[in-house]
Parts: sequence; C-alpha cells; structure tokens
Amino acid sequence: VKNRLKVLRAERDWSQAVLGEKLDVSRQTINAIETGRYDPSLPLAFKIARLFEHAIEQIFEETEGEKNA
Amino acid sequence: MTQKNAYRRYLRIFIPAMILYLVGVFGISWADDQGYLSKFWLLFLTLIPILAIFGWMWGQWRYVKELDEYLGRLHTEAMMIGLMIVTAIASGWGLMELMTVVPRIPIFFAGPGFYLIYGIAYIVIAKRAGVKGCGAYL
Repeated sequence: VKNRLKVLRAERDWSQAVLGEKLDVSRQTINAIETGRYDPSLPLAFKIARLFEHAIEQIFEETEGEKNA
Repeated sequence: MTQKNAYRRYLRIFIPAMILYLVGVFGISWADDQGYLSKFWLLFLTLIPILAIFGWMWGQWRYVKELDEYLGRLHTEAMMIGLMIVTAIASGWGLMELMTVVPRIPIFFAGPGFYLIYGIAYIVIAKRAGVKGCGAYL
C-alpha cells in the first residue's frame, strides 16, 4: 500500500515525532508507514484519515501488484 | 501511553522480578549444597523463582500490549524466532537424548535460552527496521 503521509505531514510542517504524538504511536511507526515498510491497521488508518480530514483512499492507495492479487 | 512510559512500567516489574529470581535460584542452590533444606522445603522454595518468572512474563505481556502496533509486531516477530529456535533445539536434542547417547542438557536452560535468542533477534529486527532509542530495547 502506497501512502501520502509524508506529503501531508510536510504540508503541516509536522515532524514524525509530532505526528506520532497526535496519533498516539511512536515516531518509528510513522517512519515505517511513510517508507512503506509497514501498513497500518484499519483503526490507525481511520485515525490518520480523521486527523488529516481526508478519506482513507485519498491517503492510502493499493499498488498495482496488490490490485491484481 | 507513550512508549517510554510503557518501558518504564516494564522495568518496574522486570527489575524486582529478576532480583527475586536470582536470589531464589542462587539461594536455593546454596542452601541445597549446604544441606540446610529438606526435600519438602526445597520443592516449596522453588516456587519463588517460578513466581518471579510469572511476574516478569506478565510485565512483558503488558509491555508488548502497551506498545503501539508496529513496535509490538517487531517484538512478536522476535519472540516467534526465540520460540521456534528453542523449540526446535529442545525437541531435536530431546529426541537425541532418548535415542542416542548425548550429554543431557537441563531443561532449566530453555527459559534463559529463549530470552537470549529473543533479545538478539529483537536487536537485529529493530536495527533492520531503523528503530532507535527506547523502543529498541526489550
């Protein structure tokens, strides 16, 4: 799953630590999501969507491989 | 709860439990060597390290649950590696003990062996995942 978390965070000028604090997760978790090493759970994805006032699919997008799987 | 607070709460259980465990194990071994204890008391006092292990494991259970989902997953992966290696070695060596003549390894070492492998596995996994700081520790 690709995501726009890094862009959305940069638009608000938040550090990974600040975003982690707002979402009640660690900076490491934010880093892992942004770099695509970890896909968040559905509750965390909803939380992210709520925080940025976007729909989940506006932030997270399936890769071509995932769509064809 | 922040990861740092979760780690502090874990240490508040882990340190006393570890002290109790070490005092229990070494105290009972020493008292047994001196011949101070009857069989009944020896068996009864082995409950001390067993209780310490339960306390420590409960603290760890709570710690992993209090971590966020990503760090918790890294710990779970490391625990699975520890469990798989210890189970494979214990089963394989146990079978060899039954079938052939190999030195007997006390089952006591299964616990420390698990924690040793779990700890090493977590360090490797955390390093590969780029986890630094408080979240990188057990």
